Amino acid sequence: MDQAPFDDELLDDYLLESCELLANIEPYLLAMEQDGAEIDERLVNRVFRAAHSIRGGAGFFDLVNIRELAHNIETALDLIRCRQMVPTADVVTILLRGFSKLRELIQNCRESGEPDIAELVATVAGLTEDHLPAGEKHLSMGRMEVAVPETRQRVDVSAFDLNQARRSGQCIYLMRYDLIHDIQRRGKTPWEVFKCLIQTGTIMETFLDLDSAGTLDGPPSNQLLLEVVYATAVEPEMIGRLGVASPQRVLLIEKNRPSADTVVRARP
Amino acid sequence: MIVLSREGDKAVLRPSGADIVSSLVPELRAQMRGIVEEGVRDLVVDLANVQMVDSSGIGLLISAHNSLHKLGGRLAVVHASKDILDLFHTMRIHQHFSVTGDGGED
Amino acid sequence: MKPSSRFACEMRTTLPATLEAIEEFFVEFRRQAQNTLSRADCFAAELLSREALTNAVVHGCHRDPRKHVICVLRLRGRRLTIAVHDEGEGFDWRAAWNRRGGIFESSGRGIQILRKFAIRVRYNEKGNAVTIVKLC
Repeated sequence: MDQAPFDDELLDDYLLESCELLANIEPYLLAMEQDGAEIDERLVNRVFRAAHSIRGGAGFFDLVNIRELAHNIETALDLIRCRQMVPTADVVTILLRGFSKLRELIQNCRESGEPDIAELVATVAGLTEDHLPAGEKHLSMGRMEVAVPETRQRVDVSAFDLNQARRSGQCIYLMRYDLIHDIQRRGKTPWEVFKCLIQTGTIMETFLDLDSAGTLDGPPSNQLLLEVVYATAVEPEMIGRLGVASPQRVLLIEKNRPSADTVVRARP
Repeated sequence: MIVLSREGDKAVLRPSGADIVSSLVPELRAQMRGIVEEGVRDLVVDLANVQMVDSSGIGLLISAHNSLHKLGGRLAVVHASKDILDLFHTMRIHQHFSVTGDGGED
Repeated sequence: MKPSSRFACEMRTTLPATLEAIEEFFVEFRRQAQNTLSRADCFAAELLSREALTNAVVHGCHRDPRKHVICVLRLRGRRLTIAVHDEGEGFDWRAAWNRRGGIFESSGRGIQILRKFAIRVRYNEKGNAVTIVKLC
């Protein structure tokens, strides 16, 4: 289909930000390799957040390849920062390849659906599988449905992310922002909101809710709702006060206490 | 022109030979609202004989999805022509409710 | 003798500002366009014209049948130009376009379609005339 190369300003913002995040990633990865098992947590977190931000935005824009690759890289980095995997030369080499391909996909964004990156994704995912304990290997690729209390809603998240959140004793929330009223009209962008959330937790999933058309009953409403499944140590009393925008609604999905034994069963 | 088949809480709307565009949207909206009020929760919109959907038509489908979703129900669009399917993909509609084409494939 | 590679045709119409008139126009449009454009191009051309015409009728003329909308479609080579002009006071296209997030405004869904399917969309200052260009 003939798609015009018209500027989609929001997508351009995301692509530009992602390029900036990726610009200096190599030195950080090489530094991680140097540090070996004695990881510099701030450094690893920084690299993790780069992959995590890129993943979040790609989900928002339905950029399937970018999202999948970024998610796999993020998962491997999560294992490193939880000290379940040491950033050896072999590990870092694979991560460097992953980030390099990610940069390429971002730069060629409009075609990002096309190149076959299955092999690279499998290689990066292999890092995770190799370093998860036997009982948890099934988590790296599985999805889980989680019920949202007080609603009929169920959210679909990665089993690995869910397990990490539960094991770290984090609370999991479903946060709803009205992109128009809460974000755009205050001169902000969704990325500023994401970046802020990422400072204090992990974005597990985002869903764009099309309430902008309202329902069959009322007149068309001028809303566009973004729902974020968010894992964080921040307690329910404080959750509404994070960051650049106030969510319209916050629902607590789960409250967890740190436990090394928590393992979930994923759907295949 | 808008054929409706109904079985319990399921219904199929078939705007045959008509287009889901501004001039038809009010009538279709009223009909959809009516059947949701009557308890339909599983609504299928069959686009087999529909040639065109415009922005108000897209808005209507999203409204219907929102109404049904709020009630724990669902909307699905089937037999969309290739052009309409491409339009829905461009507008990212497929991320939110099921839209399938003539062959039943996406 | 080689046939000319420049294929030119034009369709010009004046409509009262009603949705019914738009439907009648498209019956004729389809008849003519299917002899000239590919199926996919017919669809896109109709979609773009619909958005422009509906905007002109609803937002420009407030569906007042005493007001008129002029629509000209011109095909030269691969270049299809759609020009719609209405007798209304104009509409605030800058607000609808809304560079910083216009794709989110529900009234902007039509504008979003224009942006995605055309290579150029230009409004006049007043907002009562729009020119859309699409390559076929």
